[in-house]
Order: sequence, then structure tokens, then C-alpha cells
Amino acid sequence: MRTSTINHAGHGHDSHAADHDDHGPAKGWRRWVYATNHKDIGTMYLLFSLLMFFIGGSMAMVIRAELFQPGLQLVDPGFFNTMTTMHALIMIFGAVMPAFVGLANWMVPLQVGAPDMALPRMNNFSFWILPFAFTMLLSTLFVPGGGPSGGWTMYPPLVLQNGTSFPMLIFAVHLMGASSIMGAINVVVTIMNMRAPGMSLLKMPLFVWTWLITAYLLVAVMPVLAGAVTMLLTDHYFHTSFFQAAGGGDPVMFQHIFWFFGHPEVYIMILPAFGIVSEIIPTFSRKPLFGYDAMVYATASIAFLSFIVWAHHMFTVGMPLAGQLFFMLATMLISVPTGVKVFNWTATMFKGSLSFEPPMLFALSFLFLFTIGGFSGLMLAMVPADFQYHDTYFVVAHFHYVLVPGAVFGIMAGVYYWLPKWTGHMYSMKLANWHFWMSTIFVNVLFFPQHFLGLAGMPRRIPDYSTQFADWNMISSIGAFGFGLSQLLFAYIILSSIRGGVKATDKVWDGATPHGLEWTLSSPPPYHSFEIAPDVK
Amino acid sequence: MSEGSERAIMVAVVTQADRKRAARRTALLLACVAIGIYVAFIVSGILKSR
Amino acid sequence: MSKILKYAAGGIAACLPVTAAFAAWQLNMTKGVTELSRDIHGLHMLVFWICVIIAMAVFGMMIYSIVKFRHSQGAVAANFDHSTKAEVIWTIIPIAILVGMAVPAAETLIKIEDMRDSQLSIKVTGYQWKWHYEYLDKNVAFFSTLARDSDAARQLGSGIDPFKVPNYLLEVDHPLVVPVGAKVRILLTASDVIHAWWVPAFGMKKDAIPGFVNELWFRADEPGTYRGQCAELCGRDHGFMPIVVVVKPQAEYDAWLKSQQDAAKPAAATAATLDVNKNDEAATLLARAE
Repeated sequence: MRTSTINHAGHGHDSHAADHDDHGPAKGWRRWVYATNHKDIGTMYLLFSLLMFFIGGSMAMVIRAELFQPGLQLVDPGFFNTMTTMHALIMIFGAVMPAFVGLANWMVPLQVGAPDMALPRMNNFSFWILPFAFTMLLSTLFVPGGGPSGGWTMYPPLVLQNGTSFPMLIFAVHLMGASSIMGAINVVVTIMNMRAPGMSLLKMPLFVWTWLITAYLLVAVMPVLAGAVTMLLTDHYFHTSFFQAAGGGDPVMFQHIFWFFGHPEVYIMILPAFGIVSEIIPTFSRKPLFGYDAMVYATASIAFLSFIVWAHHMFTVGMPLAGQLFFMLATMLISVPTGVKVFNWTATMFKGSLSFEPPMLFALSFLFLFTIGGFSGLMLAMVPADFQYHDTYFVVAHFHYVLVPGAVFGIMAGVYYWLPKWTGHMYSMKLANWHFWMSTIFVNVLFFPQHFLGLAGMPRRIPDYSTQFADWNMISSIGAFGFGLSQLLFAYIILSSIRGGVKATDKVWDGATPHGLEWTLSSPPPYHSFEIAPDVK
Repeated sequence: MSEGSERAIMVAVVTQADRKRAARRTALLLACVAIGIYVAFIVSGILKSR
Repeated sequence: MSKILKYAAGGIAACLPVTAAFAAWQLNMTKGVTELSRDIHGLHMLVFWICVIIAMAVFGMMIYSIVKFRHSQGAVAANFDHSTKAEVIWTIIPIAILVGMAVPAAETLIKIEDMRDSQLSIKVTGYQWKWHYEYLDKNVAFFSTLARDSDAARQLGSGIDPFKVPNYLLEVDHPLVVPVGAKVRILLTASDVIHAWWVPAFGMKKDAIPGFVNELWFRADEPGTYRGQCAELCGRDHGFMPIVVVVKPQAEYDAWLKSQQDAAKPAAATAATLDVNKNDEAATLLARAE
């Protein structure tokens, strides 16, 4: 972060703001339904995401409760498949992505010195699509045939056996995609067009950089998903046969199209977390981020490479040798820029002056545990070995490590970092520490044994298993219950902070060295900030 | 309020409006890109399954 | 809450005398009984140890920093914030390591894709929710379904203890039988949705896709019974369509094949197309009589 001095002229004096908006925010429900303020919309995204996190989490509890012991004790196998499908859809599209969009909404305008997002009304629409889409998705649980049960990957022909829930699923996916695309466009144009004078691209905080790159990925690949599910819809209702061999089509083509979206999607779900961690570690190491330029280039490399590795999700589909070799090598290559980032974060800590407030605890946990997820990813890239890993719990372990102690802990780190700025109140450090330790310990109890289960031969997406898998499954389920319960603390901490607490200063983390324009504003910031652009030297 | 900062306000307001216009143009361009990608994949799906 | 405690107590008690054929608390992949499975295990271990070494280095640096450079202990932060030399080094060295991994991986992959010179071809078809095996040009074909005792035990609320069922969920009524030491070529397809055929002991897994035919091969070096499962979500009973392959010495295999062909003759005479129930019943009766 190269901004050296910041002129406070545009510090958001309400006398200027008063000329524009002397009525302040609207009262009651109108403030939220008609919101165009990036802070309000950000808040709505984050609270929506928190709710979805608990809903998706309770589905995970159902899954792990059934898998606690061999034998079928609790649910019908079809319902179990619905739980795994919905758990993924809700966590990916309802929890992780909206959380990152919420963080972008709150922080990007503040960090670039803009008064708001470039397109505030589209911003409102982007958000309000989501509760509608998820109400529809969740209501599939109550329609004849139940919710979708073909996996969040929606492979045909299986997904077409789903009945009433199928069109609702497709419509929900289209809506969520539209929301994401519009949100991403908003982020791109805000960053490209609304930066304060003096904030060149290579002076932007890394969170803004990672979101810029993520937004480009979103615009590029969400339409691909939309295309894929449109073709599923027409195959089912309008007599096309994109994915049916009988009509000249190919089920594997769906997989290609889906994963062309799907692989960049997983980077969409992690790059903003990289940005968050790149803000937090320098702050609490009291040392600048090591290798700012390299971090930007590494992020861009990861994004570029993410377009050419998709078939590593499909190694068992019957691909020609040349294809397998290409995708193996390209996938292995992604570990290079990712490794560069891990080394740079480590170098930031090295010879720093570290303190361990909750944001730093989560950032460090991210660093350790995401790296473990990265290692299992490298193992998965080796095609011959993948023939033993594919569709087993080894894959489940891998992606949960990069998504839970990866993306989710990144989000939690960001929340703990910026929450006092948003609400104006410090939260209880003691409770946050409890949340941290319980989460970190239980997340490992939950997911580490799943590596063993996969290696021992346990397939994924099964409600019941052979008895030799019983031991690790029981451990994993205990971890799940512990992890799930711990998250109640997180909700409590957030809600308490909204209601009250010790007043937060502008800088919030007074002992550390937070950089960025957001720390020049009050906590909470004025309803309209940077009406006049700050001077960035 | 001094004359200097009044001018600064005027400059800032003009700049922000200019920027919003540029932003809307970029947004429209990105929306077209998104729609184009959508159409391209469906068309390629049609061609592949002929 | 008490139900969970009951299950917990029961589960822990049940864990103690594990009667399953496989080891509990298994940590690692099987070495398997084919050259390919052993190669794969070797590749897996190579990559694993490389990751362990890198992890020790990186985590070591992190832990060292966390311990040595604490603000609370009065550490004063340095000011350096970049080093092009470091970036180049920690880009080049990982690339070199990756090349080192890619070479054995590519060699094994080329072996896996070599379908030539097989001694036996079997067409495998995935159904919801069972497998069909057809020995090409040998007039032997049958369905392979989850064994009755497993199927009864796995019903929701059956009350039957899975630990008392031999090879719970990994037993079938009619296993695939192949000769030891022969290169067996599997032609894989499906009749309804995508399934996948996987036997960990052979190191091979491939998708069974309706309307398409995939190929895989294996050569089992040791006689025995090897168990696998469907490895692609295929609907409600995806977890209940296992694969069992019995590898017999050549002479025993030949005898088995002949008995299958003898049983198939009257059935083939009376049914022009493959009749599911008839073939299955005839073969099962014959197997029980043996």
C-alpha cells in the first residue's frame, strides 16, 4: 500500500453533505428497500449472507448427523442428496459470494475515495434479487419430489430427473447469476472510474485489486453458467438435445461448459479473501505488505490461469491423453503464483512486530489452513493419482479446506477487522477469541479426517457407508457439531456490536498500523462519505 | 467558506458527473460482453450438438 | 439430545470390536494389486512428501515469526517491503519441483492409456442402481446388485446393526470374475444417468456415460476379492450399487466361465433379448448349487 499521506479535505463534513441530503437516510423499511447507499446495501448483503450461512450450515448438520454412524438412521437417501445439493448451492451462492459482495460494497468506495458505488440503483436491484431467488430455491424443499438432488453441479441426465424443483432451480440460478453480474459490473466501473485523484491503480489497497480482478472473472463466467443451465432447461422442456446422446448431444459437453464457469468460480470465491488477508497481516505486523507488485501480478496470473484448467474436475470422464496432460500441467502451474502469495504474506510477518487481535488470528489461521488445502489441490492435479481421489472424500476435504478455513475465515477476518468501523462499537475481544479458537480447532476435527476417508476409499455424496469408514466419520461429525455451534458466537458478537459497545476510534486498531482511506473516516463513517474526493498523494 | 474551496466543490461535482457518465458507458459495455458470452456458449452448444 | 447421546454411546461401543474386513482408522491409500495401482500409490507418496517438506519450511517460517517477532515482547518491525530476487527464487524453484513431479505422472498416464493387447474384454453398463456385466463374445452376461443382507440393513430405521453384516454395502449377489495376471479391458457405458466404475485395489476409475463408451484396463497380480463403489452421483441409491471383482487363478476362472456359459444356453434359447430376471435367477441358482 503505497499511499503516503492523505489529505483530509474531503473528510465528509456533513455541512457539505447536508446541501445534498439534509433529510439523512429514509426512515423505516424504505431505507432498506429503496437503499442506494453502498453502506446500507453492504450491510444487507452481509446480514443476508450470515442468515444463509446458518441455513446452509444446518443442512450440513443434517448431513453429518446421518453420517455420524454407518446405517441409515435419520433421512431418506433422496433427501440426503437434496441436503448435499442445497448445502452447496446455499453456501456458494448465498453465503460466500454475497458476503464478498457485501464487503466490496462497504469497503471499495471507502478505499478508493469514492462517494458511493458508480451505479447505486443497479446496486439495490442486485441485492434485492437475492432474497427472492433464495426464497424460491428453499421453497423447492416443499414441492412434490422435494428439492434438487443431483448435486450443485447439476450434471445431466441426472438433474433432469428432478421434477418440479428443476425449473425453480434453474430460475434461481439465473437470478443469482444476474445479481452477481450486475454487482461485478458495478465494482469494475466504480474502481475504474470513481477513484479519487491521485489514487493510481498501483496505489490501491490489495482488497480493491483482488475485487477488481474477481469482478472481471464474474463478468466473464457467470454468463457461461447461465448458458449451461439454459441449455438444460431447453433440453427438458423444448425438445433440444444439447446433452442427450440419443439426439446427437453429449452429457460431457455440459461438464465442460459448467466447469469452464466452475473453475474461475472457485477463484472468485477466494481472491477477495486474499485481498482481505493482504490488508490485515501488514496492519498487525506493523510492516508494509511484502511485494505489493508481485501480489498484484500473482493475483492476475491466478485469474488468467483459472480459465485454462477446468477439465481437472473431469479427469475420469474419458479424455484423450493429450487433454489430460495439458490440464494436469496447467493445474500444477497455478500453484506457483499461489505459492508466491503465501511466501509474500510470510515475508510480511517475518521481522515484523506482531499482535494477535481477532482479525489477525483469523488471517493467520487462513494462511496455515488454506495452504493445507492448496497442497491437497496439488495432489489432486496429478492425473493418475486423481483416479483414486476423484469423487471421494479426499476432494471434499480439499475444497472444504480452501473454502472454510480459506474463504469463510477470510470473510470472518474481514468482518472482525472492519466491524468496529461499520458499527462504531468495539466488540468483546474475549468472545471473539473464543469464537476463533473453537472455530479453528473444530474445523480441523471436522475436515482433516476426511482426507483419510477419501484415501481409504470412501466415495462422496453417499448417505451411508461401509463399516471400515465409521471411525473417521464419527470424528468428523463431532467436529461438525462443534464447528456449527461455535458460529452462534459469531452471530452474537456481530449483533451485539450493532447494538452497542465501547466506542471505536477512527483508526480502530490504535496499537497497530492500518493503512487505507477507510481509517480516515469516523467510526461509523458518515452516511455520505467522500462527497468531496480526498487528496491522495 | 473561502473562494478556493468553492471552486474545489464545483470542480469535484463536475468531475463526479463526468465520471458517472463514463462509468455508465463502461457498465453498458461489460453488460454487452456478458450477454455476448451467454449467446456465444449457447450457439457453440447448438453447433456442437448438430 | 438423548438420541444423539444414545447413538454416540452405541457408536463408540460398536467401534471397539470392529468386525469389518478392512482396517479401521485407515490413513492412507491402498497400494493395490496391479502395477498401475502401485505406480499411483508411489506418485501419491512422492507428491505427499514434497508437500510435507515445503509445508515444514513455510509453516516453520510462520511459526518462527509468530514466536520471535511479537509486539508484546517488544519486537520492532523492520521496514523492507519487497525483493525482486526473492520473488524470482520462489517462482523458479517451485517450477522446478513441479517438473520433477510431472515426469513420473506423465509416464504413468501413458501406461494407463495403453489399451492394446488385452486378453479379455468385458462390457460394463451402469444402471440405476446396479451394474451389468457382459463378457464380450463369450455369451455370459448378468446383473450385479447389492447383496440382500446389506440391502435389508441399510433401509431407513431397519434396526439391523451394520457391523454384523459381512462386507456391509460392499457385497453383491453376482460379482465380476476375472483371471489373475490377464490384461482385462473394460468397456464402460450407462443406460440412464452417468455412473462411474471404481475399484481402489486396481487404481482405476472411469465414468460410465449413457450413449458413450469409455475404456479402462487392469491386470490383477494376486487372486482375491476386491471391492469398489459407484463413483458418480447417480440418484437416490448411488451409495448402494457396489462393485465386487473376484480374481481367480486361470484354471478356476476357466471353470467358472464354462459353468456360466452352460447356464446361459437354455436361457439364451428361450429369450432373444437379454431378460433381466431370467438370467439373474438362472445364474444365482447355479451359483448357489456350486
